Amino acid sequence: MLYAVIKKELLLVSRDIHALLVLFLLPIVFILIMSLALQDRMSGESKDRPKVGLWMAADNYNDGELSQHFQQLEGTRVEHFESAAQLSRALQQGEIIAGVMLPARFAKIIQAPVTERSEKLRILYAATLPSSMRRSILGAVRQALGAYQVNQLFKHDDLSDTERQQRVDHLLGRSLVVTETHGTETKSQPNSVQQSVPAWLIFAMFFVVLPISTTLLTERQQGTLHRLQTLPVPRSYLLIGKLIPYLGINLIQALLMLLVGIHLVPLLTGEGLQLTGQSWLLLPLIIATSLSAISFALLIATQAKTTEQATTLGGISNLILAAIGGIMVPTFVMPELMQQIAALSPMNWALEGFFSILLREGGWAMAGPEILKLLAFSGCLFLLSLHSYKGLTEIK
Amino acid sequence: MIELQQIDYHYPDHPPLFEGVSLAIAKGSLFGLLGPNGAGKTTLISLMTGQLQPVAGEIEIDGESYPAQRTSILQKLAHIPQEYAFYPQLSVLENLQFFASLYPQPASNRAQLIEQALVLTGLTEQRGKLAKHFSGGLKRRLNLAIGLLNEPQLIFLDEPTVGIDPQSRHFILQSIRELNRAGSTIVYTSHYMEEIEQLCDQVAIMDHGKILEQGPLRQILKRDPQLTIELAPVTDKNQYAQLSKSLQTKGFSLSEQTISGYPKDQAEIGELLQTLASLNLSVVNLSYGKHTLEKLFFELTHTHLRD
Repeated sequence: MLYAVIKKELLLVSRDIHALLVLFLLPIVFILIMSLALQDRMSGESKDRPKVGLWMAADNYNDGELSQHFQQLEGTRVEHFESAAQLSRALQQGEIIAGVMLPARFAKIIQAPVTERSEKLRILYAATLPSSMRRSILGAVRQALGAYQVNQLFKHDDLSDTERQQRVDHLLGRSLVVTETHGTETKSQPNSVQQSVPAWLIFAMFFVVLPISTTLLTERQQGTLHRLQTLPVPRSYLLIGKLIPYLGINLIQALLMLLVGIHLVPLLTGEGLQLTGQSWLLLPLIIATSLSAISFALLIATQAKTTEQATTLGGISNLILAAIGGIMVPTFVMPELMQQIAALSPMNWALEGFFSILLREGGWAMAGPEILKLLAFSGCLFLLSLHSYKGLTEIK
Repeated sequence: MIELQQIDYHYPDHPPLFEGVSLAIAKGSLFGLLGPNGAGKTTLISLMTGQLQPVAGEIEIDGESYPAQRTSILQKLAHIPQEYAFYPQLSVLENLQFFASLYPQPASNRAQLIEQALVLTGLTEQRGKLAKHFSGGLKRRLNLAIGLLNEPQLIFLDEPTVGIDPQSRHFILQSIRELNRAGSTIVYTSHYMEEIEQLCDQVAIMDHGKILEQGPLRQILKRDPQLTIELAPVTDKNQYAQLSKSLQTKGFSLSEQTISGYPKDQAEIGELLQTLASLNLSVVNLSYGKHTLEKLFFELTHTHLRD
């Protein structure tokens, strides 16, 4: 009996070309586009860091060390301009995000007492540049200036390059700082593939709301539900019969998206998804995510009166859950308040579960709570859906 | 076989629809349930098929009652709704296989019942075709075929001939007769009076949640035969007033040129005709005898439009 209901649902969804496109093609396209789009923004090894213009008055080039230090502003790509006017134009046209202008005799100005410093280094920012980026460029410029000045202190000492570098590092405090990353990955934040694959997979799984609500509402509108309710079959079977095939569909989606992340994305971005030793935990996580998505879809389908209502309500709810849940914008770039709101979205629980397994190697200790939250969420929603389903009547 | 006793029912937040409704449908009968839109036919069927629970009263089907023996009752009955209650994206066979699988029966029996349903509804050649490509007549036949997959002893048919051509209609009516002859009790609702008159042996006419008339169709139509006399135009006002006065004393009504009423016996008809002759009034048409179902239906439910 249950087999017949499952087979029927699978036949229906396999003949719904729109549902198949939404469930399988859409997330693949999203993963590829977003992995490419976010590749530089989310990678610490960026080939395409934001471009900063540098103009130095001609005499500054005589001091090789000065130009060398400003050519390597941290976190940026430095592009030289022959005149201040050219730099301003490039800034205006959006070719660079900021410009650094060194006045004539800048090397001497640095050495001069503070009161005699007639001209100063100027930093020009693009009007749209966020304050965080402004602070980071200012920091990079100060760091370059500091390094140059410390170098000048030992310029006339009879030291080897290595010795001099050691002293410079000591004065700048570089030898006092050690950085560490939790987990075996070298990064604590996901790269574009690690963000995009789970995020768009979760998003696609929640889109089962479209075929589920379409099928259920068509049954109600065509009188099929009316007929089913006069058959000697428990209504819970009819609802479970909808849950199981979509669980299968979600598992196929997950397998497909992971394969895309592992094999297809690296062909385009050079960086692919890597599964760790704890990857088996992905299976319970994906099942829990799927059950949440299906239960959520069933609840919407049992509450809506028309297919249009269900698809609109389902689509908008998914977009909101995705927007606040870190699917569209990674949570680590969100302000604290938004991060707290993100924690309310089941899509965020699922995403954090993926990160715990793929990035943090947290194992069950970290992924478990997210899985349990998803299971509790799906259990509550399924019971609510079952209650609503039992009271459903035909729609004329 | 079906017995409804003192049924009360109301939809949530609605005034009572049924109050003390009782109805009996004999085993093996072909029972016509008539009523204008909103009369309560569908609700009554929903109660009889266990989809709704009455607020008070009892529904017994073959000695069993809801909700205690719901599963057992549902295994014996089939409800064929007015809508095309199947999956258009599935083929005829896929639809039949799905619905047949929802009944607890061995697979071999299931396959045999599917074949029988295909033959009875003339869908054998269409078995592999998707239902969405079907005409109205074929869809109605598939709707009927699905209802036969449990060899039902009791079939509820809700307007099964709406929107189809005369050939398909004839075929479906023939199939229903065959099912009834084979022993199934059939409860049939339709707005086509001539269909009910041709098909059914028992009827119930209902309106506003009340059963207005129920019993064997022939007896109902024969009961209280009505007399209708159509007169040639009456031009003399005095003559008309005299006739009107005379009819009132006899309990007949006069509307323009038509006299109608229920004479006690044939002698009373003779007296009336003598009165007309004495007033020099000519009779154009006279009818007396059994009702047509349509006439009885309008007498009981009146002709005003319904929502």
